[in-house]
Amino acid sequence: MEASPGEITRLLAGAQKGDAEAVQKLVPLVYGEMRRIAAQYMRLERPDHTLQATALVHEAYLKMVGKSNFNWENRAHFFAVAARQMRTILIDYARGRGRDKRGGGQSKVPLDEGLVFSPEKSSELIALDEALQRLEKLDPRQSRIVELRFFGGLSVAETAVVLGISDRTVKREWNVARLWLHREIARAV
Amino acid sequence: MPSEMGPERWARVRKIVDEALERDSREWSKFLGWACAGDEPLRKEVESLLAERGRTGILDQTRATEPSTISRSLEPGDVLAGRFRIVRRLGRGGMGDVYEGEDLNLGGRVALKTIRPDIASNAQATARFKREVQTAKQVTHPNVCRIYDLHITPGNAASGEPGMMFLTMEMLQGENLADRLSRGRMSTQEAGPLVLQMAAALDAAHEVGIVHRDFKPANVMLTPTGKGNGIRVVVTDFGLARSMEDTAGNVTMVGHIVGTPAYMSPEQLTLGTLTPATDIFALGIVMYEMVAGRRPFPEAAYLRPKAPSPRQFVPDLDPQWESAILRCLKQNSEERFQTAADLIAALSAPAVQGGGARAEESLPTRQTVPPVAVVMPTVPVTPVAPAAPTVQITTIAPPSLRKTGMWLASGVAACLLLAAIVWILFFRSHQPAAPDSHQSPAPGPARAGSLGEVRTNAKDGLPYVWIPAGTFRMGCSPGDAACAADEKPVHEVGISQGFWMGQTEVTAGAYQRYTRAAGTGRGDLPAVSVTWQEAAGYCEWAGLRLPTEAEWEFAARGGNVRSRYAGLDAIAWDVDNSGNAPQPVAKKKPNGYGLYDTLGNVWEWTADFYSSSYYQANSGADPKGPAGGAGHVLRGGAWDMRADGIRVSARAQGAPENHASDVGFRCVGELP
Repeated sequence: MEASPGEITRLLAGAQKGDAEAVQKLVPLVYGEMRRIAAQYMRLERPDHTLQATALVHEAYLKMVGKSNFNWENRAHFFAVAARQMRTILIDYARGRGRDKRGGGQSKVPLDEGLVFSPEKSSELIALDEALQRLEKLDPRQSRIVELRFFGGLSVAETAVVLGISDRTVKREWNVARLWLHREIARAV
Repeated sequence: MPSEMGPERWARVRKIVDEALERDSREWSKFLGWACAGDEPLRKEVESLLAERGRTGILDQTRATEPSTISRSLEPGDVLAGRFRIVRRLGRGGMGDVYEGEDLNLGGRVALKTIRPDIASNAQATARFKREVQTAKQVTHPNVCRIYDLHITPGNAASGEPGMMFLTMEMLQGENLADRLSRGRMSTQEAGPLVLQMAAALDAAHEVGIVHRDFKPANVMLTPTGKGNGIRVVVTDFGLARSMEDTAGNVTMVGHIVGTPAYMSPEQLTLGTLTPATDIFALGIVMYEMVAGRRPFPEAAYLRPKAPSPRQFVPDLDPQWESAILRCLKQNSEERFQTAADLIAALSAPAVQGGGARAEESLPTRQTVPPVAVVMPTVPVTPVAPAAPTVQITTIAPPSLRKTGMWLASGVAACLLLAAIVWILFFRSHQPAAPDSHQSPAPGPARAGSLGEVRTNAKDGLPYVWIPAGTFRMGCSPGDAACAADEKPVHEVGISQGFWMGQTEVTAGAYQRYTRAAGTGRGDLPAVSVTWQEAAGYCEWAGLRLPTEAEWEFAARGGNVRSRYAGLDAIAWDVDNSGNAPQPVAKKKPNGYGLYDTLGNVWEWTADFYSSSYYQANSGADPKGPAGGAGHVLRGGAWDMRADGIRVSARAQGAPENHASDVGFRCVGELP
């Protein structure tokens, strides 16, 4: 089920119009690509890379959509789809590390040396993920804004486009959510 | 209380916090009194959130908004600053991409390093970066990569073209030390001249107050000197280095630790004070890796216990090297060599113990240490005038090197001859197999099985199938357009002994029996997230071993010459049919030997170290992989891969301490 850049662009256009089926088709494609890229990072194939959410999403985007089809709206929607997958991948890695730490002995890090995560950061990430789950019950939109911006790397403007709200709303919701999340993380870590 | 918080309550809290944030903090008290209207818990909740305002946390650190952390990719032919034409991309680093460029004004080639937009657009970071460049330019040393200039091009608001910041640097030919080490470890004879030059480079930088901060093999270029076998070592990427005056931390970057965890000193990991001894620690790790083929600490671990002696891995290592390396790796920075020059002196001192053989391996004597003179960029390392004591390092080494080289050459010839004889003897006594044909069955040892026979290993309870001896063409399959360079050249390989191989990947159930860990997981899933060491440990427990890479491919081909023995979906779990998770073993069609899931499902560890160029040097009977390397070979592809990665000849590697949800293994050996 290899999809051509044209096919991805078509699905993205569908996603932009709110076509749920297009999003459904897009998700496994994006996930597979990102999982593959993350796995490559892990297998030392690229010694000088860091697993950075934005870089990974961006790379997946360039691979799947290509530079020639570059379009800000497409990019925003692609990243929106990718944000949830990115969150899953990063938390998986963070939990992998956390488990080893608790298991005692040497900490085994599934990712390559260039990684910017520290153990503290892994537990912070896990705490963030858990706090986001709670926030989702309180305010799904805020939770989604954080997911898009933090895990998907979307800018304020892109987040606004994806959610169909104003830049100003994104900023204000982000500011409040940020305070709440930082407090919850500080309590958890 | 957060536990009592529901959506409606939160909506109130959120609204008040939001409005408070729009106001001056001096008005908060009054505003909250009014907005919370006597609801004390509400007011407390709001206040506790507002108190977070000063905290910077994870959401600020990795916040990946504009400006992008991705450098705009440049294409060959693009011209920067009206002067530098991009020739090709050389690599990507933490700060941005590196390109080879042509200087249209002055002619000649330069290296261009683009600076990530998020750094380039941050005034503080830019100021610090400019200072760094300024300082780095002071270092003129043949072993330090020369920095020419920092260029800033304005953006074009009309076209949306962003501005750029980039460095021009000396263009270096050759490979970096990381590439070299991926082919295996070095003798101290080979490593010696390189280490001395690296130390000299660090010493020169330390002299002017620069700590590299990110010293690692990828930042060490090995540039052929043009004549003879001379290698000029050039340390690059002082870009991350911060002049020592700044270590007080006045202008810190976005809160990241700067550097590469695997090579970081304890003080770097704990954000302590950095001194030249910080680089000495990193150099110690690099030296360790050069001579032992592995690093002293687990991959990216944040623990820096006492380093295990490299002699554990290289029993005949020169004691002088051993003690120098271990001194570099002292946890307490004050116990390390305080200058790189001290390290040079220690390595160059006369060997205290050992006879002739020892002395041969250690470096020649010398008295003084002006590192600048260690090697000149334009002069080949080998035939330099023998007068100055400083040059002695490089001039005395060569005769022994040459001798070693000759010995090596004759040794290689002898090995080849021997291999040829063994080959002829062995395959004369058996039916020689036509290329690309099925295996040639061998009589085998007494406990041998026969083709198609399945036997249960009493130890781990898993089924094993018999893989007969034979020959095959290893590497890229005919007609397979997806092959990478490391799958070539195709070469004839013989497997001289038949063996039993796990019919499936080792299952989680069997692995749990091994670890005696209680578990309720599904026992027929392959065991995953197993490190190479753990996999090897299991096989040993089961009275077996991990397969060599050649054994793996021979068995996985099962007599088939194509890249897959049947259609992908019929034989393998991949990203499209696996539902993004490992699947129970033995559900797909087995290969000619009755092996399941050799392709797809999970990657499988093999015994061999990985080297991308190993095939170029090896064919013959029973290859066992290079002598060392950063990682071990992984084969077969996995559930999260696409078709291109799931081919019988596809190769990947993993560091021995790595584990992942798509990596498992199977064992081979003799069964009672």
